Amino acid sequence: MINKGVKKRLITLNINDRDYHVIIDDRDTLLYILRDKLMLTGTKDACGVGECGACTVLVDGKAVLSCLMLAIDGQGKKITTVEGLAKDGKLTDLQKAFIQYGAIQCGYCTSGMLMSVVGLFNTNPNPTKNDIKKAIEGNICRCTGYNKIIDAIEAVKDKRLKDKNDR
Amino acid sequence: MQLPHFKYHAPRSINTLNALIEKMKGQAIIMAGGTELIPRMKMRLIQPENLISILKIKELEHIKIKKDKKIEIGATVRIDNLVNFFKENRPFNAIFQAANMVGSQQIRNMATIGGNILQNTRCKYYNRTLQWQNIMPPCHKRGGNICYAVKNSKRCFAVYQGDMAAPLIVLNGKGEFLFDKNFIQKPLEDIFTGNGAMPFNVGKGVLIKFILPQPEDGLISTYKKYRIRDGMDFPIAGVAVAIKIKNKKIDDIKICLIGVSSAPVVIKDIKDFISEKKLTDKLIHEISEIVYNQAHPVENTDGDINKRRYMIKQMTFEAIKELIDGYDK
Ligand SMILES: Cc1cc2nc3c(=O)[nH]c(=O)nc-3n(C[C@H](O)[C@H](O)[C@H](O)COP(=O)(O)OP(=O)(O)OC[C@H]3O[C@@H](n4cnc5c(N)ncnc54)[C@H](O)[C@@H]3O)c2cc1C
Ligand code: SF4
Ligand code: FES
Ligand code: FES
Repeated sequence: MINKGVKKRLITLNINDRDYHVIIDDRDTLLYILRDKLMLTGTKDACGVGECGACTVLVDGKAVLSCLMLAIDGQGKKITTVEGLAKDGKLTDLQKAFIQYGAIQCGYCTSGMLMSVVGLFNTNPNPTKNDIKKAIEGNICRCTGYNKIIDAIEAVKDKRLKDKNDR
Repeated sequence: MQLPHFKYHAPRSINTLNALIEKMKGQAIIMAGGTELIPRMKMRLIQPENLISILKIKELEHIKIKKDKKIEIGATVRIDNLVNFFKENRPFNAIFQAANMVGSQQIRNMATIGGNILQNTRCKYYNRTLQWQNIMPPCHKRGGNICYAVKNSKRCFAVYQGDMAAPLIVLNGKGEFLFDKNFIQKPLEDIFTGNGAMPFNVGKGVLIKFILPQPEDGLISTYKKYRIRDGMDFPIAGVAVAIKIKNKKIDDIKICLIGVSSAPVVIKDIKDFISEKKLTDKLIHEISEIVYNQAHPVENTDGDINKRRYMIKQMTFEAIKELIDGYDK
């Protein structure tokens, strides 16, 4: 299609606690802006139509699909991508557990998977195995067979609950 | 995958929405969560000139229990909020069950109830990428005059797969629509045409809210869904059942199917059939058989049609049995 007269806009997106000013087209998805304009390529682009979860990010603490969200709708919200998890180069307990339990193979699903799990812990610090499965049902992994991912998440849950009780 | 170009608008009140719609003279499409619309736009099945996001209209995002015990659900209430609101609510359990099985967690966080009800019908020959469409002559739903699912058919059989419609219909839900500045309420089962190519008769109306009547004593409900994978998939058969129990008998029953036709199927002649009969497994089998005979899926979703029909019977039996067995507990 001819892009004659397509208006650009300057918007501000708060991503990982930092404001980014970015010029967008109305049609740009959040995924496209993250990867192609802001070079935050940790968020992955796969199916583009909501079926794989590779593009999962948090918006105001909830896991959403950045391939189905318009960038313009991200204004005024708190967006978190996988780049926002580690602080000062230190991985989170969840990221470490994924490595330790072999919950990563090719890694393509991993950033989306991590964001879904962070979203789960935000609303439910003590999820059952079923809750965990339900939280990641929208994240397709073609490598691990899921069991190692679930093991890693359960280990993090147990550790966090234990630390809380010890305190 | 890039979206086609459009102009984005985000009114903050129903009044400004009205003014926008008027100004655009029908050349605009409403977007709520976008989880159904955006994939269709990416596939170029629809290329609107203007897109009006209704997510900034605060009036649309509340659930309220009114003084007369009616429940009002705003059109942009998220599916995940419904899961939490209707958890452990026996009369409205069907809403919880259905909401809890829509798509995936990410979809439930984004998707709205209004968008769920007004989602387009689907077909494995229609919901395909541009590349596919370019090599296949258009079928009825794309303005042509053939059907790939039902050979020689003069009409489109695309399937309605909105999970939430079945529970809202068996619970006698109404939708309130805004047409040209007028608010009009309609029973939800009356908004469907039954034609896969043009599934709704509410045209450019904007869905404002849903109204559920106060639950009567003895009302119980549930929803069963059949899909290939346990998560993420659309229903390829779904059954909602609402029963009113009085003096250990079924006083009223309403059953609605989705995923087997171009509109939800409200089962006919069932109330008279059961009137005053004793609640036995045999009766439940007979009810399931009546339901089975009114389900006519065609080969245009995942899964085998005979299996989908069989599952309608099986799920109806399980749903009623579960409701009745659980009633006294
Ligand atoms: C991977 C995947 C899995 C899915 N699984 C399921 C499933 O299991 N069950 C299911 O039912 N659905 C499923 N869906 C479809 C969709 O996510 C849901 O139906 C969702 O509830 C749609 O809501 P939305 O707010 O995102 O709608 P949108 O995409 O915003 O809109 C859907 C349609 O409704 C119209 N619309 C929306 N709100 C209004 C309004 N207030 N007034 C007038 N028109 C309006 C839009 O114009 C559009 O045509 C799935 C989608 C994906 C991508
Ligand atoms: S049912 Fe037939 S006409 Fe309708 S979308 Fe499918 S192939 Fe096209
Ligand atoms: S890329 Fe968004 S769900 Fe697959
Ligand atoms: S690790 Fe390869 S897809 Fe999950």
